Amino acid sequence: MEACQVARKQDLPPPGGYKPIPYKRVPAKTLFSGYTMFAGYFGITAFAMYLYSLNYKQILRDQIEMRSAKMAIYPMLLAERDRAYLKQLRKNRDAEAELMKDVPGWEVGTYYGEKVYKLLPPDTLVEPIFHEYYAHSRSWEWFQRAYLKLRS
Amino acid sequence: MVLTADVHLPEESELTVPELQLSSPALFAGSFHLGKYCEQANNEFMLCRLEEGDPRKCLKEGKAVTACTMEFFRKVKQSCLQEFNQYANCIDKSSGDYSLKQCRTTQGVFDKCVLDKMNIERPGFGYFCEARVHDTKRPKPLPEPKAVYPDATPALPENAEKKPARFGSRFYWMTE
Amino acid sequence: MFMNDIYMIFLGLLILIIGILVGVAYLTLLERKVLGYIQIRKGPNKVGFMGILQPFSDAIKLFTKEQTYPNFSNYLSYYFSPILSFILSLMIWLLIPYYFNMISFNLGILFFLCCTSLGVYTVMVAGWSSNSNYALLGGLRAVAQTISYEVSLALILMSSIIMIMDFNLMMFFVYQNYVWFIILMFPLSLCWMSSSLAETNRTPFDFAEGESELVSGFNIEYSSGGFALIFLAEYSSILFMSLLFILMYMGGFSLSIIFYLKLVFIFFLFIWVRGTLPRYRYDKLMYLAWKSYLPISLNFLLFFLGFKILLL
Repeated sequence: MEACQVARKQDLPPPGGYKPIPYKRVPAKTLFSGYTMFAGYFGITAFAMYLYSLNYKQILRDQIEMRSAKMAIYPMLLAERDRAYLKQLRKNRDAEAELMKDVPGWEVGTYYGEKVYKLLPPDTLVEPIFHEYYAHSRSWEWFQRAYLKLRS
Repeated sequence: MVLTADVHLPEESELTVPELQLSSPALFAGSFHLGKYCEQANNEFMLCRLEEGDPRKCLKEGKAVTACTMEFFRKVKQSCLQEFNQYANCIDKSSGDYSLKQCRTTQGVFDKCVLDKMNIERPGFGYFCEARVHDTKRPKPLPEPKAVYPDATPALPENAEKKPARFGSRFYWMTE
Repeated sequence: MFMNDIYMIFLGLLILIIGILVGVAYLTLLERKVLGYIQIRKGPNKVGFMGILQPFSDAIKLFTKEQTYPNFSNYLSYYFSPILSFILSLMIWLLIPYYFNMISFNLGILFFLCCTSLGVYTVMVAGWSSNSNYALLGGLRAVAQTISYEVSLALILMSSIIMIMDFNLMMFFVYQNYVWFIILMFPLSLCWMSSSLAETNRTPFDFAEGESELVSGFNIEYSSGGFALIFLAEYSSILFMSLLFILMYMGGFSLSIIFYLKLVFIFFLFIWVRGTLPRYRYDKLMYLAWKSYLPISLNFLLFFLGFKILLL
């Protein structure tokens, strides 16, 4: 009972009352005005565009250099390829003659004497199509060439 | 096969010459100096190849190109082997497409060595893309004769009667 | 030789998948930690050392729970749509800018657009096949939002494509050697950032799960493994979006550690936005896509096209 006699402290506002509620809107600090921001944006973009154009020219130069390097070694590669190509053509023709020697009336490069191109002058090199070129080689070589894109 | 027996194909022995045993990075590493060193042979071969359009007729020039290339790389091997290997290794390892732009330092070393010992200056970056004048002894190819078709439809005679169109002009929006 | 290539590619892809899965796992941990500290509490810090094993424990929990499936649901599509969406989001990672076996993905940007637009179908099918109104409505809302923002993503991407004139993502490195594109096209990068937030259904645009009447969005009927797969797919697509932001606007080379630090920063930005911003409104979201981002990106496209033509 004694405890109840202690002076009870009521929950009251602080002396002098509460402070007024700050309901006024505090806008964010504006560092730049609109015009400055536009000007800054255009300036920065223009500068970046200048840098980009420098970079772009550098890239074009690199591309031209790579093309140049490829063109420098191209004749050598082409010469080598020509020799290999002609070797394979001869091999193909010999293989066909060997394969069809028992067939009566078969002539190499024709269908029983029927030529593919009738009007071409003799001794014209017609480049055979891809599958014909690889007809007498191993299927693995055909596969390697045909799917070169997948592997490079 | 489209190749008949009367098409002349060279024998294998004609076609066999010592070939280059180098891989792509090495070729790219040597490309600029190679192009400069063998410019005459390369241009001759490419001219022949483009004029004739037939690999059989440019075998001699092709062999000259390969021989020149072999000679160039032998010389490089004698004088600048270490620098060359360094450069080729850099090209091989730096990117997926053998681009030269990652290897400027090793390229500088190699260029200096080639300039000092073989006296070949590296041409500018677009040298082989430019049009270059080539002096050759090849005869000028004959212009292609105009095609004559024996079964062409004969034209109307000069004084043929030209009646007006029966149903008016088809091009009424142009003539009216 | 050929088989050797195949094996190496297979190995590379395996390493890539493992890397993505572990990365996604730790991103969830990062998100929980960061959200925790934003809300002045600690995130997970018990499992393992300071919560470092939490994602794995979550994964084990999720995958060992019972898989329920609703009555009268279309079981096959219900079962397979999370798997499909997970596969799609892993497939997008094929075009991470890196030489696999010295191969780079040439038409990568087109592949990205294809995969993200296919991802919409899995959401739609998952929502529809659950046989629940909430899931269906959530799925439809998510699909409408994702499709709208795909348009603006593609158009923003067009400006970058014009700048690099290639579909290969590797070219972004080459073209940003001198200046990052974030400086060149700052407004577009902001558009891209918010569009990717909306595209991946993140806060403040997570309307698929946000409304109280939708309960949890299209994935409400999914419980254990299906839910985990949807979750993984979502987070890996978020990670890829932040990777794409880095690639497109902040340059750098993908083999440097700085690149990955930037990546983590952008993902942190995603989490930060989630912890800070309140949710938007659905109709406003749609207007934002069709009436703001579309004209902005088209105008910028014309602007950069003209700039590129000037340079030629």
